[in-house]
Amino acid sequence: MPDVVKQLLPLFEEEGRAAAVSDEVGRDRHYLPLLPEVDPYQAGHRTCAGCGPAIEYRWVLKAAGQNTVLAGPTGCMYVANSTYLCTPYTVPWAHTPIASGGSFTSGMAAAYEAMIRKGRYQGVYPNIIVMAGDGSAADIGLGSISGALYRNHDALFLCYDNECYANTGIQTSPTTPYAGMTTFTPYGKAIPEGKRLPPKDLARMMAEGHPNCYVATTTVGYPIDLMNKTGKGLNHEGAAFLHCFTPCQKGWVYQTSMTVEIGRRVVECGLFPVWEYDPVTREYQYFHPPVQRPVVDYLAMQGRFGHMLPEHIATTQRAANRNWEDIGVDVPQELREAEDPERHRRMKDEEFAMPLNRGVGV
Amino acid sequence: MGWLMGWAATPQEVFDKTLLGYAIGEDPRVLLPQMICQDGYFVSHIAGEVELPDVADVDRFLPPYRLPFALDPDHPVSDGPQIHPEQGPPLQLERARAMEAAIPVIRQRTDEFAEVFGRRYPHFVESFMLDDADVALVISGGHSVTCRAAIEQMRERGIKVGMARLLWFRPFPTEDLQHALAGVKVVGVVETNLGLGGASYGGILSLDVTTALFHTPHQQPLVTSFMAGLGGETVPVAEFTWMTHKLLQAQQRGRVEKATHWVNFEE
Repeated sequence: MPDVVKQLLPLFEEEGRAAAVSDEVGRDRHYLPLLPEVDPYQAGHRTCAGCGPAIEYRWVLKAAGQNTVLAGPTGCMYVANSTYLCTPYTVPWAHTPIASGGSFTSGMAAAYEAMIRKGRYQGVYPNIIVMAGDGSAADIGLGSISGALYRNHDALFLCYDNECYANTGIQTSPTTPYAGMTTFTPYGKAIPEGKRLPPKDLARMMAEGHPNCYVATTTVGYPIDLMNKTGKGLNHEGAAFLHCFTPCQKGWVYQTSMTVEIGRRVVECGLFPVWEYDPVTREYQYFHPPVQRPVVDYLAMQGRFGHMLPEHIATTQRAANRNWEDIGVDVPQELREAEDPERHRRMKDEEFAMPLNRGVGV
Repeated sequence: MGWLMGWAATPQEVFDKTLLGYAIGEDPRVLLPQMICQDGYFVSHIAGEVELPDVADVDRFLPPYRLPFALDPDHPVSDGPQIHPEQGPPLQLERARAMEAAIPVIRQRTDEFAEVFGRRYPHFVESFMLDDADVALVISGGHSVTCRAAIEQMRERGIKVGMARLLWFRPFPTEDLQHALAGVKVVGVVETNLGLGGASYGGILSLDVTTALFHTPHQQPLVTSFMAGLGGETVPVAEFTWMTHKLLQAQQRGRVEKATHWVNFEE
């Protein structure tokens, strides 16, 4: 019976990644010259200008390489990427219904293992990746992905999180942040903050609940980190889950050139902790960004937060400060004081704030 | 939507149809998903004898599956992309043709199955005492076993009744059913399902049967339907006798009382 031979993907030097250096010593030194030339995510898609998930797709597939099989549950990256008779993928790709990304991927992984053992597939076990949006991974398809992680299929389950159902026109999802405006959570007299619930902590849930599963979070602001976590997840024997923060220009209403910047600021504001979970030692390894900012720096860039009142900003700052404490970072006095609503103005009065999102709501 | 649906009456038929399902669904002329349906409880939970075939025979009947468009990194394909509206009609036409193409494949594979395993099933419709029948019950699934017994008893009393059992629901065996029911004057469809709000306000089987018989090249029979055995209740011989009585009444009067009868809820 032939052995199942797995690939071992190379990891990249992380010295120069933007996360590791502060502005003073060259924050822009985040591109490394040694990236692979292969680009399985090619031209031929129709994503929006400034699309965060498209950046994530490109880095992930660059890291994974050509011996990869990809699945895409329904979501904006299904609709925007695939058109009959035209495809951006140079690796095999299949669409799955939104709820069955996990089960479909289990099947692919199990089929490759079985076919290699039976001698019906000559070749190295491919990277098996499913990229599900937050609607699929955190909401509709959560059960099937959780099942696949639990059964420990050797595959990478990736959630590209744009914090809304962007495909159908920006409806709220479980990862939509507190006060994030969507068409289902418009702000108004009754609910001035728009969305009342804090977001679901998807990655923690996956890490705490699934034995043997490698779990990590990252954002499109840190390309080398994203590529390395992709590599580690695929090299890990068994299931891996990667939660990637991917800004959505259409849903969040920001300047299209700011996607990567938002991907870094969300970490520097403490609203999206970046970490890795080792299932063997059961330990989290937290990334401590060199810069800490008040949440306003992040919120003011996006029209979806333009309606926020001082008390809403203070609530968000409190949540960010709890995150800092969770990941073992001291909260500076300035950020503690920002928990007081008295310290804030209305978001629309903030300097440099994006104009209110006029597409939806009041 | 787009699935082949076989309907089995006994545990043996469930097993045999499963083998047949692979042979038909994986045929390059068809390549459609398939369901082998069985009555929950009546077939699935009641013990019956099943003869298991030799593995060598099964291998002879079922060649290794060759997936035409595998997700293989050496031959990349994008599977299931979105289509533009103008690409919809031709795509759906191809699916409809694949479903039609399954009809000759089902005939061929059913014959091959008989050659390999020695059990010969009708291609699509089992005709039971239909040759000289005036009235007939159309049925699918496990209740057909009781129905046969009921018909034998009624035949002893001289009642000219027969039964047509559907072995496949999709593709629907329109021609085979028209042929099987040629000469029958009143047809009663035994529904063990409920299609709420449908044209007959009863089950779904009668909708297909009625359409098939509306276009029959033979004399058009009267059609009615019977709601029985819903929720997993048994359909005893007495109920089949009652249904047949309703069909004979319709034959006498020259018209059916209504499109759907609820057995045990009316006189």
